[in-house]
Amino acid sequence: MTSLIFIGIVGMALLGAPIFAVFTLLALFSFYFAEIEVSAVTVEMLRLSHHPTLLAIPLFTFAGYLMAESKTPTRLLNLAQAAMGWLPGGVAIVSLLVCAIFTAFTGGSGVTIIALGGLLFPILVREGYSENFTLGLISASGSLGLLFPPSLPIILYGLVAKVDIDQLFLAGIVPCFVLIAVLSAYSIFIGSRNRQVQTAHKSHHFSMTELKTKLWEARYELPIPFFVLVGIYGGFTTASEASAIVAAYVLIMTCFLYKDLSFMRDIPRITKESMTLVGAILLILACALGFVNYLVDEEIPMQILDFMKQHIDSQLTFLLCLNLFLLVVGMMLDIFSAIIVVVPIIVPIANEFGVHPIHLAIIFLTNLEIGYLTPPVGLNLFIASFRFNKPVTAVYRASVPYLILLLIGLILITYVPAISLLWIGE
Amino acid sequence: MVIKALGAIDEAIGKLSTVGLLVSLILMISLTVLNILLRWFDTTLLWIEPLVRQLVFLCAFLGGAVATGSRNHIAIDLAGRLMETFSLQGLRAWLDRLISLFCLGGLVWLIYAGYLLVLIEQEYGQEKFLGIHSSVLAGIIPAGLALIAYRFFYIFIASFANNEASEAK
Repeated sequence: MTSLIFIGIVGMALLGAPIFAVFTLLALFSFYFAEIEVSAVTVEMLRLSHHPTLLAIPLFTFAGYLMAESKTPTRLLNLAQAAMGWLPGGVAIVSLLVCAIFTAFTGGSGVTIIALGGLLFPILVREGYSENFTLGLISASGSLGLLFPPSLPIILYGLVAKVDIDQLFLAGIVPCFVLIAVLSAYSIFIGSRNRQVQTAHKSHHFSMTELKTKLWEARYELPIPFFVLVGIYGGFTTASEASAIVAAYVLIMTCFLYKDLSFMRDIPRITKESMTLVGAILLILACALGFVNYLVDEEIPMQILDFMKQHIDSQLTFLLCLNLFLLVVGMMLDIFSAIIVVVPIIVPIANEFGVHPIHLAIIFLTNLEIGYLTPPVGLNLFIASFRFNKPVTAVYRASVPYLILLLIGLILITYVPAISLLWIGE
Repeated sequence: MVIKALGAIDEAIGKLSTVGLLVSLILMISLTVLNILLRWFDTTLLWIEPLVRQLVFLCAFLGGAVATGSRNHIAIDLAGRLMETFSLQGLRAWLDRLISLFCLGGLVWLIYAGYLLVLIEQEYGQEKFLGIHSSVLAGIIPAGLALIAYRFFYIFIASFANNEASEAK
């Protein structure tokens, strides 16, 4: 009977029931069958309200949505093109960089593809890149900045795994540049073999006057990353306080400095849209806490560890199995649910195999980032299919080279811990 | 008539949640920035941080209520997508009803668990900040969940009314 109920709940998850409801019932039934008072589930939910970093989730998301709705993407793109458009493969590299920076603020929820895709697609096609290449590039870029601060999944990971978020922010920077570099090298290679791209490239010349103009146009956006990095690492603010400063600044910037948005007309709508995502994530977090703690209390991670120790004897093999497991998780679950459920189980096991907690975080997030692009259910594939009105199978085909390249990046990040630990002094 | 009244309540919950989110967000930003500014003058308002954390907690439920209304909850929607691809609209409608009932069942049970927690807090809790008792803060859980549960209830009921209306046409 018990097994049937749990199979039924998991079955409902596969049929499309909201993840928060799935965790709610898993937690309630687990406590009920263990003869523990069900109010224990709500005690775990209440515990969430005591977490000091929680504030960063709604405020960074709100700031990201504000920028997505304003003309910030256009200004950043113009600036990046003026600075780097003259390089071989420059326009493609610019697209990758701008998408990565943007995703860091929007949390890789597909907002990047929606906000920037429409701008980038015609530019890349005009530059001579094929539609197939462009489709794959934008789909891959949609989650590329997940390792850049102040990305929402990093904050959530730190919160769930009880790892220092400031250190995670630093640790993600180099691995993210590694992934961008791998994709950039491919873009340069494709560009160098395409005559149309070569012809278009020859028409681009570096102009200092144009760069100055674009810098001036984006003058209010440029300090934003420094608010986060200098604020936190200069010891002036915590991550939560930095999120409040960024949100306040972006609100003033978009409504009063650039006047891209109307405070009365646009802000209520954007608040509703951004807080819907935040509500959906926090609700999953609140509802899953009870179930996850039940698993930990029942020593499920230790039982998995005992089982693994019988079959796996080295850190290298463990990391390989971890990558395969997380890629499947990334395909099936959205990044937020995956972090909330899988992290508490994986962390003690990885610790036993001697994986550094910060390195584990970066491996974990890179896997889930790739999961966004992995057929058949990677979220970016569906968003790109919807945004560019292309069959999802066409997006699958276009994304395959990028998927392979990102997997190469993942192997580097997994087996060279120094990439992740470089800036945290370990 | 009944459906209209239920729909009006659902709409009111949607609007109330949106206004609540807007007010909470503005308060979260302004109070946190105020605390940073006050720190320059070696002053801190101790109630700001716990209040802001409770506002974030409240936003989870208000955002959840809005997400329910706009059917934007995070889910593995593979079955739904497949049904739409193969134009199985009728089957999709029944699946949506089943999901609404599933969520409603879970939420009602969780509201009861939240109510038990409020009773415990009333007996053993204490004042937290600005004279607010911990039972009031715990009350956010059943109250917030009730908003979400009502919206799932309305989605379930309205799905039959919508079906009748489309058949009548």
